[in-house]
This record gives sequence, structure tokens and C-alpha cells, in this order.
Amino acid sequence: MTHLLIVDDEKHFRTMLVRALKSQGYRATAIDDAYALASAVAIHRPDMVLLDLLFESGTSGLEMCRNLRTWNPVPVIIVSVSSDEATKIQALDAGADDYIVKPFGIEELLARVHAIQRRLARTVTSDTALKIGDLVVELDVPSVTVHGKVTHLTRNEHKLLKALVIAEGQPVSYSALLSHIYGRGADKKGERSAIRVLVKQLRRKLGEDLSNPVYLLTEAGVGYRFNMNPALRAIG
Amino acid sequence: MIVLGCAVLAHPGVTLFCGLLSFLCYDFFLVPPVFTLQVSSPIQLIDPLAFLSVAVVTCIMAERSRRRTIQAAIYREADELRGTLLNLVSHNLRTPLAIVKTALTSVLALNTMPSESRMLLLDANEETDRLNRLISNVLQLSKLDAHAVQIDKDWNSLDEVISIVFRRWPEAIQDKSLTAQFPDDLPLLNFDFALIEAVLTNLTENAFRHGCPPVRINVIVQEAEVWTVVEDRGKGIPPQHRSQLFQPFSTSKASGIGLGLAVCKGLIEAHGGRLWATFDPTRFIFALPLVAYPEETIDDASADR
Repeated sequence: MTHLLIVDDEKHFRTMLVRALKSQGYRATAIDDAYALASAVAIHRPDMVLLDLLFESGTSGLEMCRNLRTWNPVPVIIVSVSSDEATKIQALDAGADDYIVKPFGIEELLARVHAIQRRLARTVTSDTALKIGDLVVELDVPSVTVHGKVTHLTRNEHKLLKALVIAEGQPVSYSALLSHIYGRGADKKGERSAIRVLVKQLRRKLGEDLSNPVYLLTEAGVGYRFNMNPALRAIG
Repeated sequence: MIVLGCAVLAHPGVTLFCGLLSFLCYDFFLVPPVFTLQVSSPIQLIDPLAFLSVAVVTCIMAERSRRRTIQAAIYREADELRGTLLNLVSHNLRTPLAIVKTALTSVLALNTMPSESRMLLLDANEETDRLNRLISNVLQLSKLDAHAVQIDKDWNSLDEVISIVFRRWPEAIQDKSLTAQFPDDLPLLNFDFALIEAVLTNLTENAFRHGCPPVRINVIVQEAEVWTVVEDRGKGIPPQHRSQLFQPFSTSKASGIGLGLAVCKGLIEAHGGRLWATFDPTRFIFALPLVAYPEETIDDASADR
């Protein structure tokens, strides 16, 4: 049974989330301050951590996440009321695997939990191609098969697709994509638009409906994520 | 110099006194007959006027700039306070809402209840989302009032905004009661993604709540502008409400509080664009300026073709 550790200083939210997760068949433990995150992870050995960002005690969830990353690989999902793009980017930079903005539906949270679990389960693989829904993404050759038809990709389109597919459904920030495609980490605004142009080209080649893409999803202000499970629809 | 110094540092009265004094000194030492306060020709009477007017003008200018500085400091403090308050309100309203939303969706996910009860919970869930959007609207409006909205423009594609807005109505997408059409070669536009997303979400929600599906979003290029048209098949807006449409708290429905349109208009105008409505059928249209996308930024994207 997947065990989740909830770190949130809102007592009612904490209690409800434990109850909600238990009702969905998960094991859940909760603590009220990220200050105790390290010891709680050591004692409870959770499979995943759901971490709030701001604590009344003044503890910073981001800092605790960064600390945790130095010694433990347990996946972290940031759970916060802040929908601010800069905060989301900081969360990913601090080593969080994903984030979710309150208020959220339980199915959104579980979709993210499943995505991380799938990624962990697939880590050891020497596949040269990945089958995702109607797509077969070649990892070594710049091409993709859409509905059985092979489509050639440009070098940069392929790099973009590969970076997203390898992240297995986790959001990939603009700066990560820029460094992956162009070999530089600078995330200047003018450079983000180069990624947007590439994304549009790639979406067309994947046969996406631009107003309602199934695979290549926009994470507004943050970057993109690849929906590895198109049967389950998009997650906000 | 002394006049200027006084104007900047001291009271206006002191400045005027300095102006007068400097004229007297000028007259006493430099105007013939020297070392008297007499003047030999009426032309020399222009000098005191010149001295006094310099004093008055510098005085007024200095006073204005002083007031501006003080006012700016007051505004800054008020903005900071407002920012802290807004954050507090947003946190305190969203946390209980988060509890309600997660609890509702958890019960819904269990799928173990009769369909009538399920419908009730679905309604409650939908209203929770609406309440969340209303909170965002109120916050956005108070920020606009305080001129505290930061417009963070970048080269964005409107179709990505549409795709994000569409995620809120998955059922409507499924049954084709929400559709979009835009030119295939729609260029990137310079706008704040989050703010335009908020506008389009508001207009789409209005179309569903106050109008009637199907709701269609059409993007068209009109000379130097890109128009986004949100159209529904409702009965339209009663004529008596049309002129007040974009005023805060004006609404044609008892259930609405009419914040959305005022916010939208403010946000679009902050982008140098326009928002207006046409009637029969109801269309809300926002126009964003079409500015040429700087060539050098696309080099990278097209370099490898």
C-alpha cells in the first residue's frame, strides 16, 4: 500500500486529506511542520511526500525540500495555495517532482501520484522506443510514429520530445528544456518563445488538436509536461 | 542659487522672502545709483518682477515635487499593506475551500452512491470551482484598483491559452458544446499569459452561465489586431443592462455579482487592447495589438529545419 506523508500546518486540511487518501486506499501519515520533515521521512519511510510551502512557524517548505534532496530521493509533491508561476519554478528547482495548487480535486492529486509511481517503476529500462497511446516515440532516432505512420522530426523537435518523454509525466521547466535543446540554462523571456514555436511545430506533427492537446500539455508559465497516460485525461 | 536652495529645502514663504531680498541686494549693489535702493529708470522695475517670478515658479515646482514624493511614499506603503492583506485573504479563503473540494471529490471518486446524491455532490463541486474563480476575480479587481497588477508580457501563443481554458470544461469539450477556431498560422503575441487566461476563462464562464451552449471561441486577425470572439446561443443581454455591462457589480442576473467583466476590461486595457460586446447573438470580443514578433528569437526554433 502506497504510503504518503502529508506536511501541512492547517489542522483541518491535514485531517481531511489523511481521511480522503485512506478512503482511496492509501496509507497516510501527517505532520504539522516541515521542520520535522527529515526525522519524519527517516522514521515513517513514506513512498511520497506532500509538502506545503509556507508554515506559520516561519519554516520554508522549499528549503526543507532542498535539504531533503541532499540525502533522500523520496518523491515530493508541493501542495500550496500559491498559483504563482515563480513559486512553481522554484519548487521544481528545489528538487520537487511536481506541485499541485489548492483547492484541487482528489483525482488530480492521485493522477500526479500515479505519474510519479510510473516513472519510478520504469527507471531501469534500455528501451529505444516508448509506446504512449497512439504514439511510438523513438529515443535514438529523430522520428515518431503517429497512428502507425512514421513522421520525421527535426533535431530540436526530437530533443524537446525526448526531454519531455523521459520526464515521464512530470513538468519540465523552460530552463530545463532550453538547456536540453540548446545546451544553455538561461531562462530569458525571449528564449522561452523559441520553445513555444517548437512546441507548436511538434504538436502538429503529433496530430494534436491545438485547442485541446492530449499528449503535450502546457504548464502555464512553468513549462510543459507529457501526458504518458492519454486514456486518463489532462490534469490541470 | 539661494532661492533655489530655499525652494527645495524650506517653506514657500522663505523662498519668496529670499526672492525679494535678492532683488534688494541687486538693486543696492549693482543698479545705478549704487548703494541706494533708488532706481534711475522705470525699466529697472522689471527686475523685481523677474526676481519675484523666479522665486514663485521655483517655489511652486519644488512644492509639487515634494508632495509627489510624499504621496508616492504613502501609495507604496498602502500597496504593500494591500498586498499583505490580499495574500492573507486569498490564503484564508482558499484553505477552507481546498478542504471542501478535496472532501467532495473524494466521496465522488468512491462511486458508491445513488445517482441522485451523486448529482448533488457534482453540483456542490462545480460551485466550489466557481467560488474559487470568484475569489480570484475579487483579488484581481482589488489589485487592478490599486494599480498593483503586474503585467508580465512575453511572446505567447493564444492557442495555448485556449487549451488551458478548455481544461476547465472537459465535459463541454467532449459533447462539442465548447469549440474553438483559430488560424493555423496565428503568430505569437506579446501578452501576460495568466491574465489573458483569466479573461478568457471569465468570458467563457459567462457564456455558459448567462448564455446558452454551444459556446464558440473564434480567433481572427483584423488588420493590426487579433480578435478573440466568445459567442453563445443564449437569449442575449436585456437592453437595459447593456450600457452598464462593464461596470463593477452590475449584473443582469440576481445570482451574479458582475465582477468578471469589469476585471476583464481592466486587464485587456492594461495590455493596450480593447474589450467590447455586440448583441444578437451575444458576442464578447477582446482585441490585442498585433505586434511583429522579433525575428532573432525564432532563429533557434527554425534553425534546424
